[in-house]
Amino acid sequence: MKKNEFLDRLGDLLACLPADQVEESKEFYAEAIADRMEDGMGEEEAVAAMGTPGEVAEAILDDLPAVPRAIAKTRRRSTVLLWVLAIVGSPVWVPLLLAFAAVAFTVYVCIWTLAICVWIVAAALVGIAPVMLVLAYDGFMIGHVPFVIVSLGWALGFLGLGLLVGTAAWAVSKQIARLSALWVKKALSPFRKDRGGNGNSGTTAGRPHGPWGTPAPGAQSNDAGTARLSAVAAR
Amino acid sequence: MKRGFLEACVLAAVSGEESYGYRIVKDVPASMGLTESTLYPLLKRLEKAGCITVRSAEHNGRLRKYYRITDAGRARIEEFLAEWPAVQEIYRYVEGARS
Repeated sequence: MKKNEFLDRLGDLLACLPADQVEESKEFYAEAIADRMEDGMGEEEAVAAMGTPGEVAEAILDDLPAVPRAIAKTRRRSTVLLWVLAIVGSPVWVPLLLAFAAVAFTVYVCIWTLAICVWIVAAALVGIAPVMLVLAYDGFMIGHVPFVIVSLGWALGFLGLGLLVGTAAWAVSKQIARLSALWVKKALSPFRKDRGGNGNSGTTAGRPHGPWGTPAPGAQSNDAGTARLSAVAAR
Repeated sequence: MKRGFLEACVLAAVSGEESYGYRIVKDVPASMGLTESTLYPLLKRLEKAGCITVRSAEHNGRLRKYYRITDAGRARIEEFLAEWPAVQEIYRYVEGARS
């Protein structure tokens, strides 16, 4: 096979990808073939060293997340097949997709309900303070000094406790922002590639495990990704 | 596991001076069986993760892409090397099956 033939065939096989990605892939292989030819190989030999266009396209598509990969691979066989499957399969995949979205949303809501609970407790505690102040005022009006002192004490105590719980609520919210960002990332992982190339099902970049497949000590790359995500979520 | 090895090998191949696709394929130990079709997705992944940078430069009247490691890439190599004891432990365990 000649170089141009190989590149054209590769372009056809990758037609399901965005044009710039196809161009970039073709450039990479054009460069690789040219480098081999410069190294003394014949054109056909250099092209053969790349593998078949099918294998090359497969390797590129394998790097996509699960859902786009399935779509791309079906479309590669035939666009008609993809549409037939999409329409005929719609009673299956539409409810599945809806269920998936509903579960993802519910988990998201549940996570945030937790934070809201802590905030409500904090608000309730702070809210008791003015009531106690009113009681203290009443005691003052009837001239009952010990009652005034006790009421003021309670007011201060509840205010302090409320502020303490408020601080905790703030900390919990931050953690939950992190958690929910992680959850969104997880829920979207079958559909799209992670922006930083960090943490994606099936790729090694930023994986929760070390490069050897054993748990990474500290898993720093992952923490960095998480921190970035929570920063985004906090905005 | 092999993917982790490949990633570390490619990072090592661009850790000195910058390198290009075909040279990386030649430099990485043959036992890894690295080919262009494996290298291309790997380079893209490493680039996205910020482990390598890419620049295009002219070579013999055509453009060639050169790759160079970043600090994040060096950190990844360190991470890889730090796990060696764990791998040795696994090796010793499997080796124990022979006796």
